[in-house]
Amino acid sequence: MSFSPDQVLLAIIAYLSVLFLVGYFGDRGAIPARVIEHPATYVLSLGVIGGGMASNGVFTLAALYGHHYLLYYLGIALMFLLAVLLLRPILRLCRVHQLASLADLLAFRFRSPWVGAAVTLAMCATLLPLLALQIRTVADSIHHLAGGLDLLPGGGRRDGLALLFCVIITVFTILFGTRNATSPNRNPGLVAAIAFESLVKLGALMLLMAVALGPVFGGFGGLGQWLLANPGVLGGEESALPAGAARLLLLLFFAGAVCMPHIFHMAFAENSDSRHLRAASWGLPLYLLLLALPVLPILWGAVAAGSTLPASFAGLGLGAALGAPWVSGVAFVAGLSAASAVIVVATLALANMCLNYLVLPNRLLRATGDHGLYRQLKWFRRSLITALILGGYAFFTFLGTGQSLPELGFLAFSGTLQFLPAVIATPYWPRANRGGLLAGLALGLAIWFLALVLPVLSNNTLGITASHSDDWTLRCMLALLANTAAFIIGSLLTRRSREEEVAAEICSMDSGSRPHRRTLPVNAAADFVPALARALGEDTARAELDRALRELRFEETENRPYALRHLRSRIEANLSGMLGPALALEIVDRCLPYSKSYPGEAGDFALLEQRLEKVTGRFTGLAADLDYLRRHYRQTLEALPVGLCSLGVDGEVLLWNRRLAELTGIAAAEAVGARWTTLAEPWHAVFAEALAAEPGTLLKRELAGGAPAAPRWITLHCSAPTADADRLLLVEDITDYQLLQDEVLHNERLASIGRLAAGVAHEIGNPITGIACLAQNLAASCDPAEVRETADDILTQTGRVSRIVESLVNFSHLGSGAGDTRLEPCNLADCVDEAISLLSLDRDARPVAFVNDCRRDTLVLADCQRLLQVFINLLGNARDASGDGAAVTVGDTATGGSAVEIHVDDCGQGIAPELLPRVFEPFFTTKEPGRGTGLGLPLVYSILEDMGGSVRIESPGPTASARGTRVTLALRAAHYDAAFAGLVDTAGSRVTG
Amino acid sequence: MYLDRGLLLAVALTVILFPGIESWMFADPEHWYRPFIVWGAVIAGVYWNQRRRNFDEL
Repeated sequence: MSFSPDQVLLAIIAYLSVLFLVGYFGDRGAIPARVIEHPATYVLSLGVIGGGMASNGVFTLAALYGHHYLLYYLGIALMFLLAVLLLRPILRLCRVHQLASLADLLAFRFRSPWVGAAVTLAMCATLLPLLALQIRTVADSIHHLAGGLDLLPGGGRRDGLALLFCVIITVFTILFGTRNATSPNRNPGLVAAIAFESLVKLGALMLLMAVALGPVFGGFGGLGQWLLANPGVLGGEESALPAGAARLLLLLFFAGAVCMPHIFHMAFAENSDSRHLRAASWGLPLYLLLLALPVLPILWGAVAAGSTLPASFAGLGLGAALGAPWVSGVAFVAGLSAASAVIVVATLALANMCLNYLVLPNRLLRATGDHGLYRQLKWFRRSLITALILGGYAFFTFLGTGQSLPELGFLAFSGTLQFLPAVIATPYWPRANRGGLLAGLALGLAIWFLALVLPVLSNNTLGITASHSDDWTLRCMLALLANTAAFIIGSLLTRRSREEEVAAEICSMDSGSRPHRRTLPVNAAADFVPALARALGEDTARAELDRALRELRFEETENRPYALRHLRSRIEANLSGMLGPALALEIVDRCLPYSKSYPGEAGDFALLEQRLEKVTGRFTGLAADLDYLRRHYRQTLEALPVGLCSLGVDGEVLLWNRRLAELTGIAAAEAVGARWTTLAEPWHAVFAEALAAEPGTLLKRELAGGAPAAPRWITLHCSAPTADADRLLLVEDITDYQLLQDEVLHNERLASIGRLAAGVAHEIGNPITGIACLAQNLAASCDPAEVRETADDILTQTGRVSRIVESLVNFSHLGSGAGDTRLEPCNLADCVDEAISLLSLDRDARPVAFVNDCRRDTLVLADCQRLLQVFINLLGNARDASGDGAAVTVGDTATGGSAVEIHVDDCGQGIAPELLPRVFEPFFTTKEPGRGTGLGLPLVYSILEDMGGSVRIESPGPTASARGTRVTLALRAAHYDAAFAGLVDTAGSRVTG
Repeated sequence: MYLDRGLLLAVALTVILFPGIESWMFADPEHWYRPFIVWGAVIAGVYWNQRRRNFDEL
């Protein structure tokens, strides 16, 4: 070779510097976000899969087993082609719960930091061969490129080269991966750099293939002829690898696509958009196809050109054989880029795992005060990266040179294969538990170490590269089967904890998680800071709260229980990304524990519905039908013409339909998830009254001072508690009905006035005539005593006229303020007297004897004007139903409590039993056509309801004659002390806000 | 649980057709690139299957 060691060293530094610049610009935003977040970039970043194995190791496999080298690519491609089965559910979990590594995933699923720690330790052990493979790839390449020279004096062979490479790559990894302490995942610079590396690797291999096909074979035709001339190169190669071994390799690489930490990190932690996985399901297999395509031509080209280097370095050998240093340089860059990408990403992922499960559990409680936690995380991560790369280097030097590159790769892949049962169980086997996992993992890894690693350490080889040997296959299968069996048996024999059951439900593919509505010990988002500060420190807690609020688009004043639960989950997820799920759970459970006092576990319907809306398109069959029904009923409730509200037993608003939002001016988004007690007035007061009332009670209330300036009337109907102890509240706007009713009342009154007009004229006519006569007498009289007597008579007659006019005016005044019920103490007997007096004015009416038996000292709490209307209607009806000269009696009875019952009895024909239920219906009348409007009793009912009273009718009445009708009014009693003190009770009748 | 029917069909077809495809792929050493043709066809099928669904299912 014609490269000096200095040139090679400079080339490494130059290449890594370019890679660093790409990452730096990516982090700084110099590379447009649309490029970094493009699905193609994501697919290329997954190209980290093709590490040292893809650039060098597969050449050995291809030389030995021909087309079977494709198993490496096909296994990985198969995992992505079948992404829907395993990758998509894992991606869902990782994105929702901010899981950045396999240890995070399994610790989250099995709810144990011990699981995370065990997985981390096992992963470190199984990854050492992979790191050693990468280091050896680069070190051997430098060694060959530099013509067998070493870069360091006295280094013995290539160990010095490897150490230099490790130092450089450590610095680069630290610079690259530890800048963002708050969230180790989602590093756009890393994505950009690894995507760039994949492009470089692919470009280099394509270039080498072009060299092989061009200068060496002279085109595809030449290659075909060469293959025909050298049948030994291809002949019988497919049979060289035993079938069992082929299947095992396929399984190994299939599992590696999800179990290898660097692949997991790029596929899940760096995924910026879940839809990118769909692109990767065909994009990555396409990339791997392009990566696999040049392998055979390059290998054959090297052979045809007369390369003397091992098959793993076919590219270097091709350049050397052709005497073209640039070809060797390109081959070196391909290997360097592949190896450096694996080392950077794998150590970053492993460092995070070690930090979360081996370091932080002992350090966390000391993190107080300022942003010390972030700084500590950064320095711990840097130290761990250094330790891991140096560990890989130590393993590399310990191994020596006896193993082939595929054997090192096999060791790493067979180690990570032990995680496959747990990974598959995560979405598909809810019964699995941590006991089974730890037992299976321990057994599988023990067999892996004894049967595969130890032979390599002692004999330097597994025999993978020895044709027709499948002993290593049996050992690997034994480890996997023992692991799986222990996992299953252990899970079946031991119990799951409650936390595991919840996590299993969350992870399960078959049943979505059913979020529960639980209470937090905080009242607003701002209260999270002091609570979290106990574990994270004030500044870190504030930063985490701000981040979660920003992501959820909540305000700091947010106080809805639903929003607070959502906020808690987001903070846990964010902490999970930084500290791992086990620690995040511990911190959040400790600082923000759910209240234990809540009875049962009611569903968080708002969150559940939100989730269902997102996945509606995924339902098929019966589930789709059920979802269709759910949406239909939901829309029905939304479209109801009355306001509907569902309240949980904890007072949380679960449903707030469109009509209610219009009625209250409170959007569903604001109301749902909040407690009804936080509703603005007047709704708070209205809801409180409705919930305090007996279930089934229909309340009618006037709203004033609300959003619309004009007063409104509503009715509220509260249900009895449902099976879940929830309450339903129906709110109906009856303003139009009320206005119409008032208008009808007014018209009815005008009609009454009209009917009374003749009587009024007659009543007034008599005193007027008397006054006129007295005035004439007065003109003729000169006696002062007679004049005074005449004047007194005139005044008496004038007073009579005034009383008649006043009664009429009082009655007619009801119209304008009819809807404004004002309760005050009214003298019942006086009110009845006035009603009788007014009715007596009707000269055309049937002559009956009105008897007022009411006690003179009875006071009722009522609107006197409206009560007068009630008696006029009732007494008028009684008169119409009675015969000439019959008595109509009004009396009262104190019920002993705070109510007074007033009875209006007549001796008429009574009401037929079948008609009784209808007498309060508007426009229903038993009178002849033209004699009644059918509005009298409905108005009585309405007025009594407004005054907080009630009315009932009995027919026949409980009189001695057992005939006629009794109307009983119930009103609240008032007392003289309150009346004379001028107190007016308006509570319960007029609600103002 | 949601399972893509297209995927199930593809797996079933693969199981049925694989022996024939395998013998075709490795029948003639001169046509060493045939496995890549089959691989490409599978990718095209998956691409076609994926592009029909453009909603975010997560």
